[in-house]
Amino acid sequence: MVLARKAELLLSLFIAGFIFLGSILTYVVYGADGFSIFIFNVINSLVIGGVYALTAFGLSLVWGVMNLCNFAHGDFYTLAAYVQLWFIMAIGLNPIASALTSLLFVFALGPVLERSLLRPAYYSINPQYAWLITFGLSLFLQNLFLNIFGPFPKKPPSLFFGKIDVFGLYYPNERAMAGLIAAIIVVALYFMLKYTWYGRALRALVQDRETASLFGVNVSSIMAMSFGLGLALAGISGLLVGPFLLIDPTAGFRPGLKAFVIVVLGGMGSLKGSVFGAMILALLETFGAAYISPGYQDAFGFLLLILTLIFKPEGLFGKEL
Amino acid sequence: MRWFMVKNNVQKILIFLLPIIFLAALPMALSRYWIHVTIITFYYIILATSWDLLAGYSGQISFGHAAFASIGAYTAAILAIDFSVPTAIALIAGAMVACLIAAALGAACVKMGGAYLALTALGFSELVRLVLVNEREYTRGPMGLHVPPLFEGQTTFTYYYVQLAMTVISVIAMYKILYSQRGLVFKAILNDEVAAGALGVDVVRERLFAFSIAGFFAGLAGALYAFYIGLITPSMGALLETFNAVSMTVIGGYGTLIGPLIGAPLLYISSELLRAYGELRYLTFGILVIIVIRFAPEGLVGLLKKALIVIMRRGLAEGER
Amino acid sequence: MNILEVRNVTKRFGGLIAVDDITLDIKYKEIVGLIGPNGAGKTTLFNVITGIHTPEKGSVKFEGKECVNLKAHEITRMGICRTWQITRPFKNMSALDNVSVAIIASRGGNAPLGKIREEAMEWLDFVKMPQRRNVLARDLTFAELRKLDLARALATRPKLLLLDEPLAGLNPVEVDEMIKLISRLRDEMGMTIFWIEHLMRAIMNACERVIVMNFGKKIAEGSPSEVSRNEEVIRAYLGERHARIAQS
Repeated sequence: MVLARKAELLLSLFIAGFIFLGSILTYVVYGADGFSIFIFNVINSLVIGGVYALTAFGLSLVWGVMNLCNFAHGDFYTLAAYVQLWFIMAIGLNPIASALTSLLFVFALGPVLERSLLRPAYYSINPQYAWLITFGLSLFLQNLFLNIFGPFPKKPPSLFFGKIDVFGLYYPNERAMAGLIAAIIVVALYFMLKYTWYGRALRALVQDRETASLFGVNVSSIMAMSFGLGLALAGISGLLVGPFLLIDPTAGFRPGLKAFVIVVLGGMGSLKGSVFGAMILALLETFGAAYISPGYQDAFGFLLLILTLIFKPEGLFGKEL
Repeated sequence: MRWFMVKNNVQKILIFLLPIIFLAALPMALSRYWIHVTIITFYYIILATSWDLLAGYSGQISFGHAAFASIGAYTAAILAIDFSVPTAIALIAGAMVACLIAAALGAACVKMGGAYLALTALGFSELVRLVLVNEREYTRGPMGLHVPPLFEGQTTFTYYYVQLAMTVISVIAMYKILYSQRGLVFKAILNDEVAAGALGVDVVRERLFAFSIAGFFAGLAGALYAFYIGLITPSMGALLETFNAVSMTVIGGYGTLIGPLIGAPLLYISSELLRAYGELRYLTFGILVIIVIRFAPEGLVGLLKKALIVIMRRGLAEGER
Repeated sequence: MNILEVRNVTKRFGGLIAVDDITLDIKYKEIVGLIGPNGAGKTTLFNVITGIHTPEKGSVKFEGKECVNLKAHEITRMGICRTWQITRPFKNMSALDNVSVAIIASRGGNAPLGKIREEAMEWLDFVKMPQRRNVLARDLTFAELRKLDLARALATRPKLLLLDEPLAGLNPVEVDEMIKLISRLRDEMGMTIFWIEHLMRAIMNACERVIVMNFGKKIAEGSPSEVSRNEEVIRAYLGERHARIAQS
């Protein structure tokens, strides 16, 4: 317990220290411009990190509660954005209503998929079959998008416009709002997990499924709901980020892979872990791309993954809240 | 393993030789396009069989398999082009390098189970793809690397026999490995790893061995492909190619040797026949994978076996009348 | 030199001390029983000896060689094998294949499969279930599973055989059969046997020496009759009152 609090503190200090030192260094070495760029990158990392955290926690939840690593997780990020686009284009619904409807749709898919596909496979001869199914699902979804919407990136309509002045550079409001909304959702999730019955049932399930069911937790309906919630979290990320990162059929693949890295780094079933893990990954990627090599941006995640698996396979926060 | 109704060795050899004779005679009857299709089918047979060995037999489901094919291809190509290594030697060298790297990946993943292994392998294959894309000096990046032919005067027709021979050799080699002592040991590990270890099985070594062999044959397939097709790109090692190998194995029959032998031709040839429908084919594969795992996890081989049992029972019943 | 020398072995799981400073010796060709109430740490001790757990402290020497840091399969190849309290067959493989795996695993199967299967048959003959050789392990009866477990362990040709409650769940006829088999192991094959058991009849008749554990500690050691009269042993099993009765 004590060690855990230390880990949060250490990490927060580390990140704060990095920002502080970096600011000073870049100001000294590169002048005001360098400093602006640094802060820009920091803000970008925080925003991207926030969104990553959502996707990651969605996966973490499903993995922790259902013991299933949903290989198609990233594709629900894409799905939500495409469904929103469809509502806008086909029905003429306004963007916000489309977004919310899309989210509801993705959330509803959770129990449907869980009951029809995953549960029978999971309880069959070999639990590994369940995620071979998610593999097939991913293939199916990506090609569905390809067939319906074509291979070229699409841009969902922006909801926020304008820019903020950040030490001389302009940071798009859209991105900032994405980060803010992500942060609000994370806080909401925290309170949900800590204080609602559902949240407590979830935490119990993650720690010890059998005992939880003995205490009256209706395991199967919670699993179905959690799957829906996990998918919805991936969906929200796609909706938030779609307008500026654009959506194409394989858009969700990289976020999905990164979500996996973050879940391993942060610890399965842990909200804190997803948040801190996401921040670390986002910072590493942004600054790695800026100062080391842009082409290998995605490789940093892989590096983090391997290091975590070698040195601390249960992740930074194990199974804590 | 009962070869259905085969009783003596003569029949066994016939069953074995007939398809080979058929395949050897085939090119005389086919157009160049269809010979090409058959050659690519052989590529997929080796790729899918090696994945099946890794996943179905040693229980290590990896979603990064195609990376080894691309490693084999690029190694062989670079050796032949930049270092003037004779193509036949470059071919084997490509396979060996893929084998070694597979062994390294296997060693890193040996303590991981299920999803961790699959996704680390995926992360690894993305890393490989990134390297191939970024290091343009050696690999020409996404524009593709031109590869010299395997031998002077190579044509589609003559290359067919090289490919056929290598495919037959590879499949027989993998068969020998699986239907031997080691096959039994693999099965035991899948049934109960701890009990197997307590009886003296070095589980880690067996798993590494499986990885190395799978990597070797995937690399060999890749190198063969490179020398045939003359132009290789990093997308050879992309997730889609792994999807193909997985789909072929699963639909054909996961965990059986014949599965990929049936699945690869079935899927690839039908995808060629359905070329007119464009991307709809991969959509269908995705759905097929889901349906097969959900309703017939033993794939086509499983269904055929069941059908055969029904037929034999009816035959016996008839005979008794 | 003794075949097995355990010195000050301690194994902890979080806050729970499962094995507490255990020291014992087993001599060549002895049949030694290990008894104690449930949860005394007997199986954990077996797990430490066979390399499934690494102890926090202590040493285990087999024929003079230290094995605390070796992996399970290495220890098996040195000559120790164990059976399981809850049987662990390879469910989807036949009885014959189960035993064959043991032969391949412990001796590096370079022999052709035919020969390996022949030898596996011999072990199935020894435990008296040759007719069940092609039956899948998941279709075997409970008693047959126990015999299979034994056959598998024997197929690794151990010098020291650790039996973990091999008689549990067997009916009296099956128990007698098993005891006879076990005695043959030492008499005909020169194996040393270390045996966890709850069935007192077997311990009294078959074991030359008995070690008693409770709460992870060794509380008594001696011949079966000595141990059965030991006050601490009685207290462990039957409680304070009976110990005082026994003492008086």
